[in-house]
Parts: sequence; structure tokens; C-alpha cells
Amino acid sequence: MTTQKTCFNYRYTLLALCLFFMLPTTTLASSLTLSGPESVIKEGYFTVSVHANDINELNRITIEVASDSDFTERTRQFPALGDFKDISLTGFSNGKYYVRARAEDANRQAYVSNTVKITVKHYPLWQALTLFFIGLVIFITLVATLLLLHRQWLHSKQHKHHD
Amino acid sequence: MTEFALETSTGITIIILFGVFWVAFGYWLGRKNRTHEDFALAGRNVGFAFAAATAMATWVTSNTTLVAPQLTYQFGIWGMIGYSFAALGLILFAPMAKRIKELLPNGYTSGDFVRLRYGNLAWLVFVVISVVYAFGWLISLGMAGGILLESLSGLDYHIGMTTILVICVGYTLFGGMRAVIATDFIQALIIIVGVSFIAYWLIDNVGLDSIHSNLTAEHPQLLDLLFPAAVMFLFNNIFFGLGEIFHSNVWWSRALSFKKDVAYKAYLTGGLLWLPIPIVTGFIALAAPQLGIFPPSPDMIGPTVAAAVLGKVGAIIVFVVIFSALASSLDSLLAATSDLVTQDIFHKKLKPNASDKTLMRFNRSCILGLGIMTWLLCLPRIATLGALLNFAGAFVASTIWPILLGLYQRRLTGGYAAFAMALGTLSGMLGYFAVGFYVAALVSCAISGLICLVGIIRSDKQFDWDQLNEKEQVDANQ
Repeated sequence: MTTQKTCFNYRYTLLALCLFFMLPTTTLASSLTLSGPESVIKEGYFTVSVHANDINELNRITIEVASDSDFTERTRQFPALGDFKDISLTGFSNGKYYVRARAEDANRQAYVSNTVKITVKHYPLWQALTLFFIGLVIFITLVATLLLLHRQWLHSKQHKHHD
Repeated sequence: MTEFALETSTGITIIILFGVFWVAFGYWLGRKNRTHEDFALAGRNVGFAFAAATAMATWVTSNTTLVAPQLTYQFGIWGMIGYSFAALGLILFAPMAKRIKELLPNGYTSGDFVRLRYGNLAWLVFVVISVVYAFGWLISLGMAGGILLESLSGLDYHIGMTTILVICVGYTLFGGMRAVIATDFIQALIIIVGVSFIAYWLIDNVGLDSIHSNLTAEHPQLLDLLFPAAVMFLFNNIFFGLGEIFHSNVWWSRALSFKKDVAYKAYLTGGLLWLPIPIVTGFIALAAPQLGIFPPSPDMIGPTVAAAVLGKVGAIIVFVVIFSALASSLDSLLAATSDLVTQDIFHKKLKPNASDKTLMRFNRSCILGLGIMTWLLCLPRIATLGALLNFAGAFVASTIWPILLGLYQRRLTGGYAAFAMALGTLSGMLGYFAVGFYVAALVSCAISGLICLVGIIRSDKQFDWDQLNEKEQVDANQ
């Protein structure tokens, strides 16, 4: 009895699995993985990478970026260059961005990746301007020192020449 | 499959033709080298046209053709303008080159100067900085060769990188400084004509208005003049450029190889010619979003966009221009670094009585050795070009004040100079890891400058400039 029951369960599980794989899906989220930066982005640029599991040829890779996880608000698309699977994106303002990848295989089967959440928070402006003015002061001091010392040297050289 | 602008076979054909030409040219020029001074400093007889061209061409490098577009892609307008400010390095070095030629009429290297002016401790710190920088730059150039070929023709990175190294080592080995300066002259002409052509074609075909509209809508940060990281990057890049030029034997050996009264005008002209080039190469990157080009690595953006806009003929032009830029810097760096090792370490420390022939042989072995080491270090693609170069910024910016004050000011002593360079470098590295690459040179220069200031205030010694003229001293003793 016990043996019969086990066989019955096993067959049903197999049947369920077969049916699952035969379902007419347009997207297989588990076959395409997107990875991106985990820390907060402070410069407004970052690189994301697409990884394919069990897909022979990946075509038309496109990265979608939106400001909501449902990809309904301000969704932008960025095509990858050729068959490269990394893509560098730039020029993002402060905010939270939801990023996912879309691609097709050789049979034009569409795939969508997992969603990666990326936070962009630029350095505070006061910090940037402080460094800017420190740099400006050092630069002016450097140029003034060089010009002054060089002029002094030229002057002393002319003086020696006249003597 | 990726459709590259050039077929792999076309890329290989161009590189083989170029390689054969440069190596044969280097061999032909090298026949005139009779002494080590001929080989290392082209007989100290380089005229204005060649001098200005070599200054400009050497400074147009992978930095300008690949990193300027990369930084524009990342930092927008400030990346482009900030990068062009690196011309200030050449412009401010012009008066210093005049002084160098006057102080060291028989000098060979920047290391020579630091050893004679500040003593052995400062020299040791300086050599470590120079070697780290030289390898950072060499690796970035080798990597750039591989990236260039990969972006344009799909050729494997390792093959492209190996090929460019073999060609540059080849002609530098045969021709020495004479070959470096002569090839730089031709390469400068190619770069100026090629870059002007690309800029004209881009503006004519893509248009400034459409690029501006796209950036405003999709990537507003790139047009923001108060972009925080870019604002921080601006002076950092200036100090990085100044540090590179003030300390590096690439520029000192040129100043010493030029005829008397040529150095000042040559560096000034070279700087002014160089100034608009990063603006043009950087502008290319701003067109990328409009064209729907988003590269896998930001340092690939320049050649990829240019090739996409200009088509196959344009891709060949881009290829030739960038190849020329890489070669003109790689050969200079190989020659200058091997001079530094030959003169400062081998001749001064290990074999003071070495004959001229031995020095020439050792110099050639150094060029070959440097080429092999660079190749080994380029094999793993360790970082993006921008990040790699800016790491070196922490090192070189610490030398700005010690070099400047060492040339004109008698009171700064060797101990303070060594301390300024060492602590400046460490602080710059701290800034690099704690904040980002865009503050490394700024922090390094600031700390080094403060220590130099303390050194001058506290010192009561006066350096005797005659101590710099080592050859005359030896002659006098004899």
C-alpha cells in the first residue's frame, strides 16, 4: 500500500512539472539575472550586469529604469552595446531607481530579469564646494609662487649679467 | 552578434602596417646614435618644431583619447572642461623647463635633480613615486591599446594589448629618444588633423541642439554645473596633471634634450595646442545617449561613439588617431623610465665607472624589461582606465611643491621634502579610498604643501646651487 501511494504521488508531481514547463509563457524571470551596485551611488553613474542561465544566445538586451517597482512611472530604456552583457549608465539625479533587463534568445523568446533597486544620493554641495575652494586657494598660491620665484630668478640673472 | 565598426581582419592589417612602419623608422633613426647621450637625450639638440610637437603629442595619450570621454560620460560638462585644464601642467612647466636647463646643463633625469638637491632619502621616496606612476601610466596605455582594438574591431583585448606593446617597445629599443621625438612629430600631426576632422563630422551630422535636448530630458545631471562629484574632480585633475608633469622624467628628459632657449616656448606652445583636444574628445561622449550608445565600460565610450557616427572610414581614422596617441606616450614613457633606471640607479649607485657602451646596452635591456613587466601587469584587466590613472594622482601630486620649491627656493631641506612627498602620498591614498578618486591628488598636494611651508619657516640653511652641477664638480676635483 505504502509503495503504491508513493508511486502515485511521484507520477502526479512529474505530471505537474511537465504541465508547468509546457505553459505558454512569454517571460521567464528565473532565466535572466541582473546584478548592480548594492551601495548608495554618490556620483550618478553605475554599471549593471546581465547573466543568462541556460540561454544559448542572448539578443536585444535592454535595461529598463523606472522610479517605481511596477515600471509604470518614467520608464526609460537603454540598449546594451552589441552582445556585451555589462552596461554603464550615467547622469542620474538623486532618487531611488528600479532597474531590470529584457532580452530575447535565438528563437525570439522574451525574458525579463529580476529587479534591482539602486539609490543615488550625490555628495552634499557644501562638501563639494569646500573642496573646490580649497583647490582654488592652493592653485592660486602655487601659480603665484611659481611666477614670483621665476621672476625673481630672471631679475637676479639680468642683474648678474649687467654687473 | 556584435557588429563592430571594423572587421577584425581590417584592425589587424592596420596595426601590422603601422607596426612595421614605426619599427623600421625607429631602426633608421637609431643608426645615428653614437653615444648614450645620443640615445637617451637625442644629443641635447632638439629644435622648436620637434620640441613643441613632442610636448603636445606625448601629453595626448590614452588619458586624452579614452579617459577624457570616459570622464565626460561620467561627470558631464565639468568632466570635459576639467580635463582640458590638464594643459596647465604643460603651460606652468614652461618656465620651470627654462630653469631646469639652466641649473642642470649636463643633467640626465629628474631623479638626478632630486638626489643632488635633497639627498638620498628624498631621492628614494621620489624614485618609489616615479616607478609607481610610470607603471600606472604604462599599464593604462597597454590596457588602452587592448580596449581600443576590442571596441572598434572586436579583437580580443589580450591580443590588442600585446600588439601595441610589441610595436612601441620595438621602435624605442632601436631608436631611443631620437625615434621617440621624430615619431611624436608625425603622430602629433595625425592627432591634430584627425581630431579636428572627427569634431567637424560630429557637429555636422549629430548637431548640438539634439544632443543638448536629449541630455536635458534624460541625463540632466551631465549638464549640471553644480554636479558635486564633478566639482570635486575639477581641481583634483589640475593637481594630478601638474604632479605628472612636474615630477616625471618624461618631461625633464625632454627639457634637457631641447636646444637652449627652446624649452620655454616649446612647452607653452605644446600646452596651448593641447588645450582644445580633450574638449573635442570629451564632446564625443556627450553624444552617446542621443545615439543610444551605452557601453559596457565607460572607458570604451570615445571610440565606440566616434565609430558609430563616422562609419567604417571614420572608424579607421579614429583607430589611427588613438593608436598614434597611445604610441606617442608609450614610447616616451618607456624611454624616460629606462633612462631613470639606467642613470639614477645603475650608473650612479651600482656601476659608477660603466662605459658608454655598457650604459646603452643596459638602457636597451631596461626598455625590454619594462615592456615585459607592463605586459604581465596588463593581462588581468584590473580597473577602468580613469580609476587606475587617478590612483597614481595620490602619488604624483605630493611632488608638486618639493619640485617647484627645490628649483627656486634654497631653504627647503631634504628631510622636509622627503616627509612632504611621503605623507602627501599617504594622505592622498586615504582620500582615494575614503572619498573617491576625485580627491586623491588634491589632498596629496595640500598636505605636501603644508609640510613644505613648515620646512621653509623652520629651516635656516641655504642650498648652494653649484652642488647641482655634478659634472663640473667632478672635473674640478680631478
